Amino acid sequence: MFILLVLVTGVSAFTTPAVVHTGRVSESPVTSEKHPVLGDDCWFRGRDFKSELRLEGEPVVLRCPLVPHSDTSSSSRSLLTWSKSDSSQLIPGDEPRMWVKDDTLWVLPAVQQDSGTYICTFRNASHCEQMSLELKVFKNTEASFPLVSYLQISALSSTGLLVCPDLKEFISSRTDGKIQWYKGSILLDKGNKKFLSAGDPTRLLISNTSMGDAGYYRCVMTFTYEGKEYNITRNIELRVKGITTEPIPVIISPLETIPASLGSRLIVPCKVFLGTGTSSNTIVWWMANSTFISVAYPRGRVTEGLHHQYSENDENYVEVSLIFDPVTKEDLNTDFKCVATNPRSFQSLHTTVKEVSSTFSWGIALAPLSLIILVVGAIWIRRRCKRQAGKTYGLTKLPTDNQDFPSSPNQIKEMK
Amino acid sequence: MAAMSEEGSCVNFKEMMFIDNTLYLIPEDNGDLESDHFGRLHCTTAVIRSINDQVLFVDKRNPPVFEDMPDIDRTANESQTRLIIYMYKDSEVRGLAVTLSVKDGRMSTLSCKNKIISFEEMNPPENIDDIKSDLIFFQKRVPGHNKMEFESSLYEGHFLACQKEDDAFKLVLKRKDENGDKSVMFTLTNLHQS
Repeated sequence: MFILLVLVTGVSAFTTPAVVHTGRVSESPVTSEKHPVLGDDCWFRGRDFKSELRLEGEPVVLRCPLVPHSDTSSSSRSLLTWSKSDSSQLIPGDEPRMWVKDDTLWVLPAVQQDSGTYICTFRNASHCEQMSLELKVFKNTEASFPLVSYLQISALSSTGLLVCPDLKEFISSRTDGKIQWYKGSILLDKGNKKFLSAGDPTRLLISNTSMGDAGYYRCVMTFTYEGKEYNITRNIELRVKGITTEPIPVIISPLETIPASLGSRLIVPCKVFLGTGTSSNTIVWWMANSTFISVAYPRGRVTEGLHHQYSENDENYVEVSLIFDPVTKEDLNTDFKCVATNPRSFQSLHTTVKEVSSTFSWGIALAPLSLIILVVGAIWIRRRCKRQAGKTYGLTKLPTDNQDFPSSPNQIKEMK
Repeated sequence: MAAMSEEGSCVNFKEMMFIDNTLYLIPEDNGDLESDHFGRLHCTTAVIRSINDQVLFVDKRNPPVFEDMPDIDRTANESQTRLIIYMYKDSEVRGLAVTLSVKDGRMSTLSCKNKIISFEEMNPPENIDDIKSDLIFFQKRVPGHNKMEFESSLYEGHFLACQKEDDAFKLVLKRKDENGDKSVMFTLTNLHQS
């Protein structure tokens, strides 16, 4: 007990410095991000996880995550400022390509030198908060496609859907909404039977998706600002997903009844067929009278084996064994059930344990019985032989009695 | 007589066992004993996408949302977009019972308590001793689609859904009204495939 107390104290002692260390680490970004212009009273909330990955020559909009939606209109009670981490100057400053609108910073058009970390500072009467956002502006070439592409997935042989992403800043600006779709560099015009309009110009339907439809697509939106037109491009990588049909699990074994001898060790595998497809999220487990095995047998007389998944001749199986060590009379009255479940279906199979020891014991009984009969028979035969020997002994005695008679006449002669 | 007057101080037991110089009293198995109804087995990982291919993004500072996200950005934020799905055996056998977690330093698990979606900082429990749980969802394949839906085990007929609120697409719990409600359909991409 004393040792345990010492250990607990020791663990606590080791834990405390770690907490302090964590605190220091979290404080470091604040130190590095502070700016004299903004003052020292702002709470740095960290980096926005989402980055803006854009193409040069196009409009970019950064939205400050700190501004509550309800607070957007009430600019009189709050102040939002922007700056770049490598500069102490506030944005936009003298830069004509940048301006602030509500909770957003507009860069139009963006150039590669605009890449970097931007800091928005939200200040009101009660508090001040800061957050940083990453902007990366890439060259508008095919080499940049993997860097800026949005992954979208369609299923094989179904009607696929392409969605032009991240346009909300521009759609709300009442643009005419003209959007053109390209596969690679090929314009998908309206007469195309493969690619169909979905009504909404930001969506494109792909009829009867095939593997050949996979690849890079572009949607290009025309945005007009102060009489000048700009392109807003979003790159999409379409991946066509083969129909990995989740199989209906089929429980192959065990049999309805399992023969077993009381006191013996017994292993009953539950084998489930999963078809010929790719990996499946199928789980298999045993139950005893609708109770988990670990709950029904807390001392481990009956246990479940490992979840074993394997392939035979390109067919997939899962196997989980039920292990009795040993089988007892109680098991003869228990309903054992194997269950297999996946997102598509669930199956179960009941089985019971039947005793085979009665037949076996009868067999055992026969052998010693025969032996006993044999031994008793042998003893009886031997006793009969001993009786004959006894008779022989009797016959030997009789001549002795005959010899006694001659002695009597001698005695009679002596009397005469 | 004094001992007998103290009710509750006695334990009914059905068996005594002497093991390794220790006497064990095995309590009577009355019906009040709780038994597990969900038991954790093993897990897979996946990215969950809405019908519009937005990625489910879990940031502890905000409610979980679906974001348009370039794939390179999703990869950079793997700890917020990689869902760890633990599968559970179910004593009632109703379908594939799962929990949904993210691990960003510490594990957070999806809860729909009071029909409010949140990621609570906790490991998915090994065992759950109730036939319903705010953490357990039944993962089902949508017939005719290569997509999944997640029904709450606590609120029958309520599903995880992608719903637009203000300018954000939030993960919510929603009653599925009509057949073919696409807001409750999700694409799951296993990370070794994507």
